[in-house]
Amino acid sequence: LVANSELVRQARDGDRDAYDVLITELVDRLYRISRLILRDFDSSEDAVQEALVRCWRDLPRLRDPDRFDAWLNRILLNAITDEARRRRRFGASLTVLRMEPAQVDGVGALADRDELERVFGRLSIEHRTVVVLHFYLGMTADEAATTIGIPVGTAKSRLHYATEALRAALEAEARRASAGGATA
Amino acid sequence: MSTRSDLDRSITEWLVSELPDRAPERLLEASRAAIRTTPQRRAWWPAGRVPNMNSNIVRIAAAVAAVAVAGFIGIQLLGAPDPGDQPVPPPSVSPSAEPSAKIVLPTGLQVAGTGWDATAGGLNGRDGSRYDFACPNEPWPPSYSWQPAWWPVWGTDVYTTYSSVCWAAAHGGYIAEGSGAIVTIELRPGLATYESSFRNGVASHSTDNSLRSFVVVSAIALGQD
Repeated sequence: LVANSELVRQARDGDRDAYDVLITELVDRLYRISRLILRDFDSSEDAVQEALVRCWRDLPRLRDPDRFDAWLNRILLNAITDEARRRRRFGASLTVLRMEPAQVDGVGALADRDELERVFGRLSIEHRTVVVLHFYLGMTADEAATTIGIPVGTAKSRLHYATEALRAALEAEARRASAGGATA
Repeated sequence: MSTRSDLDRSITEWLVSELPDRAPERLLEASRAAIRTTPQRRAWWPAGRVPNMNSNIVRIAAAVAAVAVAGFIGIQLLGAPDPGDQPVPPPSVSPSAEPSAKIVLPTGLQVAGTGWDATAGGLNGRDGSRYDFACPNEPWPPSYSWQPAWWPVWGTDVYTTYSSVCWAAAHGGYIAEGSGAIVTIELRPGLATYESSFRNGVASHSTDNSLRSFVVVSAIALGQD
């Protein structure tokens, strides 16, 4: 979903109605990204709300309206990181979401999904962010690095670490299933 | 052994499989309310860099700022019109010149939000659920008595969930200026109308048709370092 450049220009010039149309179109996408990374209802909503407010506040600084989506992504990721730190600092408990098994998909057994959930939940916010940008938004490591504002090498390193952790989780579950089947 | 493409597909499918369809309506509602009271920054403000104090841009910016401040003071002296629904640039609740007080929470207490800008907008509990918020002892904005439209509070006794919990507690008399507290609120159903009032030095706004509400139940004094 690409934001309408004319709406961005109008909002940049202070048109609140134009901004309202923009965020109504974009809020679902922002919320999904936030939920995937933070794994928590309250935190996800707070991060998106904060991102939308920061976006409105700083919009006049955006020179090129065609860069709005990338710019907003970065604001959202900063808000997500801030929210995660804030929750840690004040000791608020995060309610880790449980996955619901899909009707039909290629992920396989429920045990695989639980294992992915468990490992993904243990990754840091920084690692989860790169995973979501790469596997959900389809960004390359270079694009993810630009979006987050980190060196490309760091993004590649985080992606490699996180992917290997998830791969190990799936393979461990496969071994367990295989052993269980062999003994049955 | 899974191949790289198998693994990539599995991770992507797993992520997509648990996505929510839509953001909750209350998220947009709370965001709109916050945006209504948020002014935009001027485009000429330097982003993320310390400006060269000898540059012409800084001189021009300083001149514009001086004119803006003079105009603001003039408006205040001449008497500002009732701002009604017009957004007014909010002063900082925590002036940067003042170091933030370090909050000391009672052992084991977990709070749903901290700070004077925290709202109940993100709470998912049922009506009747209670939550604690930490309101640190911070200086109130010096211009509070001049700008009734600034206050981020909607309602009287029963407040919209996008109201600041701490300011609602101050409005209800649970927190005095210069004090901090742990405030307990209780979620309530939304109302068709919310009344405005001026209580305990805090002005609240009227509004209508909020999805959810809260009431302040109690407050206990907050320890500070």
